[in-house]
Amino acid sequence: MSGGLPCSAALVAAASGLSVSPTGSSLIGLAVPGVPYNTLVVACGVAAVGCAAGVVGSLALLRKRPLVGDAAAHATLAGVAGAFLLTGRRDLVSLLTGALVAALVGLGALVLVRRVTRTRDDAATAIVIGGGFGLGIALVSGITARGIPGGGGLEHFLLGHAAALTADDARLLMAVSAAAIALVVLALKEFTLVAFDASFAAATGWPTVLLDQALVTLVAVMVVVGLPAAGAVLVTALIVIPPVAARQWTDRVGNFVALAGGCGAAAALAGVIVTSARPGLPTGPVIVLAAACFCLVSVVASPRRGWLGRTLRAAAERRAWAAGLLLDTCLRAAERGDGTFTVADVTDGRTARTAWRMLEHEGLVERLHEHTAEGRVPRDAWRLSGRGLDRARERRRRAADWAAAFDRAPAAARERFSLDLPECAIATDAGATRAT
Amino acid sequence: MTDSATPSAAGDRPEPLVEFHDVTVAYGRRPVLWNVDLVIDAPCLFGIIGPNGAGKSTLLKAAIGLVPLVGGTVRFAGEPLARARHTIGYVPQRESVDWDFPVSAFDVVLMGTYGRLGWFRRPGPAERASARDCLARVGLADVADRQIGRLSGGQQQRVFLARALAQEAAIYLLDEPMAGVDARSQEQIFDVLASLRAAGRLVVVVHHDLRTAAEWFDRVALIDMRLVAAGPTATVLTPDNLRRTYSGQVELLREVGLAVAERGRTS
Amino acid sequence: MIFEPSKCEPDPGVPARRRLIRHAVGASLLALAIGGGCGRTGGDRTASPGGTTRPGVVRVVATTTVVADLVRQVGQDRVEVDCLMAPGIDPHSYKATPRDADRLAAADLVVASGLHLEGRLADLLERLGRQRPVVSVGDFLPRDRLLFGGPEIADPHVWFDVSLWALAAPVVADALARLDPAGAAAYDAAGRAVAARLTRLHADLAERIASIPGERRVLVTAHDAFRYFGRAYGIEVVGVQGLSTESEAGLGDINRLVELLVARRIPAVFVETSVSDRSVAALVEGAAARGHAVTLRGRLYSDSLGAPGSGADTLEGAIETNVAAIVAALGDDPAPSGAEPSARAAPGDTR
Repeated sequence: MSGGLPCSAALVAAASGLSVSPTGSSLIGLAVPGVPYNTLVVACGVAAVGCAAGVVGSLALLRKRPLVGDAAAHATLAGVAGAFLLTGRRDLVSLLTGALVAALVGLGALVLVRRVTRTRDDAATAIVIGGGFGLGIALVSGITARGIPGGGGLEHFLLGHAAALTADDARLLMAVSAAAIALVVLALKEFTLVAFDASFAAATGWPTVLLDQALVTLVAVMVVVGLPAAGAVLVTALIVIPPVAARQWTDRVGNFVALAGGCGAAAALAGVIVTSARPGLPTGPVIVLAAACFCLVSVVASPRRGWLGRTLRAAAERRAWAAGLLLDTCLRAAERGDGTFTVADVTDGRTARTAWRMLEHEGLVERLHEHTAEGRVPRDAWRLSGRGLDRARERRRRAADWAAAFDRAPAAARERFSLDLPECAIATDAGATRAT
Repeated sequence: MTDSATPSAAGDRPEPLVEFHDVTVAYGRRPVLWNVDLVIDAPCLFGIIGPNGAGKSTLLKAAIGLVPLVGGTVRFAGEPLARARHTIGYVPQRESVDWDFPVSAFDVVLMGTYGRLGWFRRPGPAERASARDCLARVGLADVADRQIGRLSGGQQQRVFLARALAQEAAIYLLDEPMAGVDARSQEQIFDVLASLRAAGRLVVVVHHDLRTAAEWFDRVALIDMRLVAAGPTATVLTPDNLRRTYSGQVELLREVGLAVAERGRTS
Repeated sequence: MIFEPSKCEPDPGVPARRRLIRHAVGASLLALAIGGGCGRTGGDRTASPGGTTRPGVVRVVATTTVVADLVRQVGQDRVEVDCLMAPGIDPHSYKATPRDADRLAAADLVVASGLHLEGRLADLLERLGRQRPVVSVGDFLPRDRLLFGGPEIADPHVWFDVSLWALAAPVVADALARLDPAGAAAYDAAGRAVAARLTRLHADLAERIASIPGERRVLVTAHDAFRYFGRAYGIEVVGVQGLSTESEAGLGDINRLVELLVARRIPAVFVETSVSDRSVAALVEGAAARGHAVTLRGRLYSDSLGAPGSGADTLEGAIETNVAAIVAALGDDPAPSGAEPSARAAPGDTR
């Protein structure tokens, strides 16, 4: 395998200014003490792929087509088998060329199916995945059945072997990844525009179809280049998973793309570190697992969008609102009576009792005591403390302000109203000098 | 200044700002617009009025190239669309966007400046200042950094208007900018459009509400698959024309008649 | 939307379309039923268990080239051997095609290597076993001479200990004799001859391997196919991928092996004809980075024999070729890497 790469890799490496030494003993003049050579090589290669796949995948996710990578990857099997049948050779260049052609054809078919038959995106993707892969398996089985020499194990091409990256492989991966990332950074505003509002882009004269094709080609190239090293499954996983993880942490496009790349690289490095330390664990699959873990953690625990954060926040909102209502109820109860009330007067149900505990905890209500012969004995009577009274009255005033604002200027009120009842700052109508 | 259903005479007159000539649009065999001839000569606030499904939005979409023409041409100051794109600002209806997209209101408005920048150039301080200014003009300066999904309906509509403003176009085409927007925001939007007209731009608005149309627009075109009438508002919004366009909606006609009369009295 | 009768006509196409669909579905179901039935009856017609179809020739289908070679040597001209897998095919991941199923169904006897070497054919062979004789030679070998990778997971590469494989010859002779009693004597004699040949080879191999200096006597290959070889002939074997090519070596495994290569100063590693040599190339580079030059030598025959005419199309030929390569590479002063053009991976060649 490594025999076929030196030409292309040397060219690419020379172009990118990396040192190419015959024994591959220094990848880029770096040797980290204490880190085995193979670990370093694999780390560089896979981190590069992870970063670029994450970046390219984030664009695909924005464009609502995260599975194009999958479609490309499955189509490559047909290309690899076809290239072998056509040329009779198994050298890397012809197989990868076949894979690239098949990937592009598959993606072209995807676009065609979507447009001409008006099929939905996911259905069209499934058609290409199934059809491409099926064709590939058929060709491979045909090759095996006819006993064509050298035709065994073509489908293993799709699996790749991340731990067996050679220096040449790693250099190629780094070069292609750098080029892909550079292209995305250069045209980020164009890609974002088309992903966000394609009709606006078209209306203002941007070539939407060309940009879509460029993105799709980037994906195909990433998949094909990553095939021998990391395999189809790993590359497509890194195209899909890190962007989903990254999306949970930021609401800005630039940060999103960068974070997706970072997450991909981090997953790759995590996989490399774990499998380097423990024999018996396959590197590629562990990388995918690491990415999946990051994604799971992000989806659950991200403070902004994560499930946990949202659930906790919603619960906190409910509790705060219930406490506010209870405070108001206490105030009214106090005004009705002699300033005191019992717990039973103001609470009913579990939610109210939780709210009551909040009020107690903040010292907004205080218990009354009797002075008897035994000393201070608590009575079953409560009142609002000084702070509690202030708080309750303040809340009542603000609620009234908002109610009035809704009467006067409903649109503005609707825009600014919030459950934590801020100061209502909506001006009265011009000409009226009523104080609020 | 003539707005009529017949093409203007050739000769030494300057090219009209927008000219629809014999425009026919169909979805399959069903025509949506049929032989529409409309000429808009000069900058003004131009309303396109008609019942639901009359093809008003389609007229704009045909002008901007989003739907194909079965027949006819659309020219902007004599130029075809491909050459005139940079002078046209189009504000579509709201639905076609993903509200979960990770962009803020400011980012969306900034996209309006991309046309000026060309390939691979990043927006610089001038573009950012322009975007902030446009946001301020539509009254959204204080929510500039909020993600668009967290804005109210009226605010979202104004973001897209601000984006069009950022394009600094000569001709604005707006598709139902007031749909689903509360009265106060509508007033705000109208103020912005009026300021555009004052600055010498042509503003073409597809509008659904006859009553406000009568108040706001200088000239209108009545569309119901074909052009019923076009010209100054008072001239066009006659009971006869309205009956031909909105067959059978009597109450509406009465209201509009009152509004027109009101305008005639105050202008 | 106002309903206007004049614009709405009943669509005459609809009922006609439904009829057409029903016909098409019915026709395809019918075709499937007929086709399925045909397949089965076709298979049953050509072979009947317990007797030969053409007097004097037993039709045997063997799974791997190694087993096919054994059957040919025992059966000689009384059998016609058809081998499922071509030379160079990896038996661990081989999946049967419908044509293979036909060939198997048309056989009088099916011989497999057994011990889950043909991992993906297990179900098919089991089903077949209910209809015609299927012999998995590995199952007949004495269990105490098998190597186990884990509880109940036997290493299936038994043919590399030729003295053990010699025990398979009488098994095949026996199976053939039951099918073709007329030739029982011939089969028995041939079986014995094969066993004797293999036993002689066994001694010879042991001697040749012993000629390699002790500390260099390590065989590093792509997958763990040579454990029996190692045990039988006194050479340490290390495979990158483990017992089956279906598993994948991780970085830890690769690092560990590089460590081994460097520490023991092993001069050569070997690639296999039926397995990708990617992992082995990485080892070579890793060792080179630590200043120890390891060469990639010899395409060893592991799970498959060579093509007819290569000299390695019999088990003896293949093992002799292997041992010659091993001794040349690991023995005193291995030849410089340029001198063995067939051994080094040809430029541009890949797996």
